Amino acid sequence: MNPLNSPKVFEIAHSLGLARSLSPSEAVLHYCEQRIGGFLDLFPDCATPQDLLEITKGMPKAKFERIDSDEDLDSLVRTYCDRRELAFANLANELCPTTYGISIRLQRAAPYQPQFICVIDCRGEKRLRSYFTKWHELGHLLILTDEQQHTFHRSHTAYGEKEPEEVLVDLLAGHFGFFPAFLTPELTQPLSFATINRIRARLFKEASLIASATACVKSHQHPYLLVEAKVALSERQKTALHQGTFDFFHGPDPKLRAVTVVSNDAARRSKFNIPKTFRVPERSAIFRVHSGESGWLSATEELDWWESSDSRRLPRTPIRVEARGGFNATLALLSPNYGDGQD
Amino acid sequence: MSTVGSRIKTLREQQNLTQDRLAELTGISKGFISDSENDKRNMSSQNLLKIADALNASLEYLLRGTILAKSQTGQEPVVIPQELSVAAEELKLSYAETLELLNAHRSVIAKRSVKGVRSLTSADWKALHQAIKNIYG
Repeated sequence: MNPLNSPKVFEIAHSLGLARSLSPSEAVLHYCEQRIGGFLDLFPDCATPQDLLEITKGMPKAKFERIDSDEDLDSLVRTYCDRRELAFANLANELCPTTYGISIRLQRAAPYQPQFICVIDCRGEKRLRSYFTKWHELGHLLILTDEQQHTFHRSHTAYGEKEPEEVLVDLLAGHFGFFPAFLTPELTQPLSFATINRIRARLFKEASLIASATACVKSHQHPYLLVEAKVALSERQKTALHQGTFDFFHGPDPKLRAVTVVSNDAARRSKFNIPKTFRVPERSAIFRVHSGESGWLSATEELDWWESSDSRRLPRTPIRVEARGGFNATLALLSPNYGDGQD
Repeated sequence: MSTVGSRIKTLREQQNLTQDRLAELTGISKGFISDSENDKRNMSSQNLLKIADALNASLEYLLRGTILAKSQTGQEPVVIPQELSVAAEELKLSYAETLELLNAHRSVIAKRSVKGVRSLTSADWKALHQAIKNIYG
């Protein structure tokens, strides 16, 4: 079951007094768009999602506290514990390695002061997700009703690894963090990593490259795929490994594969796709970048170079590929090559 | 009727800040702050955000002057989770101390984690109590 159709999301939509004509997640998104639209009416000079983040933070009366080091954490705990905000006493335990942000309702704030503190953990690699984490925490506050601002506390409706409310709030964070009203007008040129970096620097400088590239691909009107390639097992190999059917001498042989594939509406309409876990062709720029031949390569290739472990091939279509090396993965932008002089 | 400017002025004075000091804290000129307090200028979002930060005020309060009424103590039924009851009994906590522990936990309204959030066990409640004790003795 899609977590966005779970009873919990219906409950959230109901608590916000939303009509039943839309799906609950669409209704909540629409509700938040109206709230954000209200903020934009108050601040017509707001021109980027990064500015919008600061404004949105102020409206549900929240304040970000960013932690870059253990010393920052100690200092934050001392500051708020001195004000008898007991929840901060346990902050070090709450901010375990798998937790990126936490929102705390202050018990002793003056009425004019911020009522919520969103602690954003930016220690180590968590820093790369700080922009999304901020929007995620604000997403929770955007869907709090006035009554809940006094009484709400997190629930524990177990739903596998990720709770429906978290999935819903991720949806809101992805939408408002790269708000189409600001992003779409920027997407008039063909996409490249250089273009994405320019847009990122202008609109959402705090966002990671991968999050920015995902947003640009999703919002672009032309077909694009964003592929993250890593050395990995095929689905069949993973299953066999879990079932213990490999013998000692013939273990699985991981290959460079498309582990994440983001596509947009235009790509889906034109059936331009690379299925997840397909092997990256050895002659592709993606493979060459991953093997260290270069940090960046761009090339014209053929889609039918791609094949699955059971030798299924994709249709023959010329494509443009731009690959960029990363820490342990290679990112690539792919688009059909229409011979339109993009070379 | 209270305005954005008058709310800025009131909060600045409550906090014993001069216009010079607020200008220093925000990097905005004193003349601009003075004009803003007298509602002679429209303020950009950036400047208003800077002033809100310097006065530790929420943007919504400065803009709308809205203050949510605090919920009245005792109106909502207090439900003590069983795991907390067990921990409180073992730790010999008073009712007030138990409520304090419950409120500390309930203050955390959301967190972004790659793992699901589970209910607190009795051991978790004891750990929370210990964390508070470590700070306050």
